[in-house]
Amino acid sequence: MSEGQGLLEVKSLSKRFGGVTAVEDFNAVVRDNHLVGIIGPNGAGKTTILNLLSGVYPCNSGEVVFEGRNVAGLKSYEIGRLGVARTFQNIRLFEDMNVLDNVRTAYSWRARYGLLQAMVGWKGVNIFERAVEEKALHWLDKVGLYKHRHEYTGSLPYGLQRRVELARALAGEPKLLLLDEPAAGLNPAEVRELIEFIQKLFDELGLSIILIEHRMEVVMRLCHWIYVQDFGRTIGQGTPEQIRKDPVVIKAYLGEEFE
Amino acid sequence: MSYFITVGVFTAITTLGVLGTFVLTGLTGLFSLGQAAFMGLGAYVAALAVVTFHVPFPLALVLAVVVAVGVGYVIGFTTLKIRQDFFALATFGFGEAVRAVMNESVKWTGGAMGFAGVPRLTTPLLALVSLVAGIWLVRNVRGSKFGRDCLAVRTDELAAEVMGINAFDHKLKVFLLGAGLSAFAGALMAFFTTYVEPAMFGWMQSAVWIIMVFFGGRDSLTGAIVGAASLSALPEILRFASQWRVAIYTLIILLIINFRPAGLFGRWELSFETLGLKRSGPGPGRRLPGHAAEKGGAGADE
Repeated sequence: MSEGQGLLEVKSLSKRFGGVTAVEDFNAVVRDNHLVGIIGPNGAGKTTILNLLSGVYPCNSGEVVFEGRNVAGLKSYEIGRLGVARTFQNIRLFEDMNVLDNVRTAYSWRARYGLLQAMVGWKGVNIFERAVEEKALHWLDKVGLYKHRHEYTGSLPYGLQRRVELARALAGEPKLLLLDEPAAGLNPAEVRELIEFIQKLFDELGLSIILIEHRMEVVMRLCHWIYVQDFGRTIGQGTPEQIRKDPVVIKAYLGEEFE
Repeated sequence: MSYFITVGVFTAITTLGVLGTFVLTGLTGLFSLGQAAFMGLGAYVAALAVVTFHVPFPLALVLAVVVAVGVGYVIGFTTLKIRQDFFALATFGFGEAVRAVMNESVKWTGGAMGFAGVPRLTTPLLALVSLVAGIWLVRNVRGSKFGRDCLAVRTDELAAEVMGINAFDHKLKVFLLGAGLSAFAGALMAFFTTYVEPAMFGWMQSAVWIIMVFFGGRDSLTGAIVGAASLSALPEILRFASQWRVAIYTLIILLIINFRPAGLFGRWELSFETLGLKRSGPGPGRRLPGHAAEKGGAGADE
């Protein structure tokens, strides 16, 4: 698996918090148009991996090669601009803003006007803002939030908040999308809907996705390749079929309940 | 000049200065206890330029803004990376340092005795035009991506950064905008009162400005203007109540903070749309061409 030059190549990534090693020697490859899953029990370091990939934390050692360039050590806004978008396990929306404005933030860094032009109301500001609104509405329509566009995100129900976050991440047209437990807090019906939705996005947009998930059905049904983490280490990887049968994985995580 | 016009000009200039606090606190959520020091900086720079160096008045106004923005850059660059509460402390230190410099450099500023003999060049018209221009600038900034991005940074800096927004850069720019606005107001103030003294620009003044912004509502430009204008005129209006006016002033603020925590105006903005004089144009209410989403066809919603 590791021979191909991928969109993203993670080489022996490590992160320690004080004396605790959250991620140790993590290696992974994500090719173009690939859906990769990371599973593992609580505290396995899954979210830490996403935080390292998106530049939220600096890593202690290792490389994150995105499109042939080592991005480890870059600030999160720099990584975001390269085309890596993400969602958060415990939804992080801009609650003081409405749904539409939340999604519009995805385009801000692309704006071709500065503070001075904004101050004097330069006409390019308006042109840009209109184009952005059009695009943002397009994404809201895609996730079925068009009619909620003027509502403040803090007042939306949980399931819809998740979708706003997804629209916000997608709006920047990322090459790589990092999803941190997108099914957390959803009921079984919503989970099935989410699986279909992610599959549809993936087919339509041709991006690559790294998915962290607790719920087996999500990962097993969607992912092409799965990494299994336990206590910061990778204890197994493979296709969903292989993972299902891997005795080490079953012992560490899946347990008796899963087939 | 009649009493009312004097109060009016004074209020307009103060409101312009408070706009500096409004952009900083309203947009980025940062508290500056040195905002009035920028006003002082503007006042002294402009006064010195005209009185001591015989610089023409319009140029002195520009100079006041340039110096304040320059000083603001140094202060902002070094302090905006630290935590929000430490930033408030740092600006407190900055403000008091500016005041100390004004107090101690007696040869230039007249020290604690104040700087007298400034010609009265700020006309009521100039004050009014400046205020309107200031409001217009702030309104434009809030309506642009800067307003949005700053709000995003204020709400969740981490998420904003992941969206590609450079939080530090935004804070710095807004800090400089605020410094420039307050400094310009300070220059106008010096040439209106014809006398400035360091005591006018202490941290207490900055704190009062923050109160004014929260009184009107930090998410509403209308609120900030009304808050600044009414609270700066209030002590004058309440003059008949002599020693009771401070108590009344305090009571009004307490009532607002208690019963309208988001400020008097919340998020409400005065505009042609909210007054019902104009149908909302592009934006709200507009259909997305080619999509049937509004008819409930969004599917996934149900």
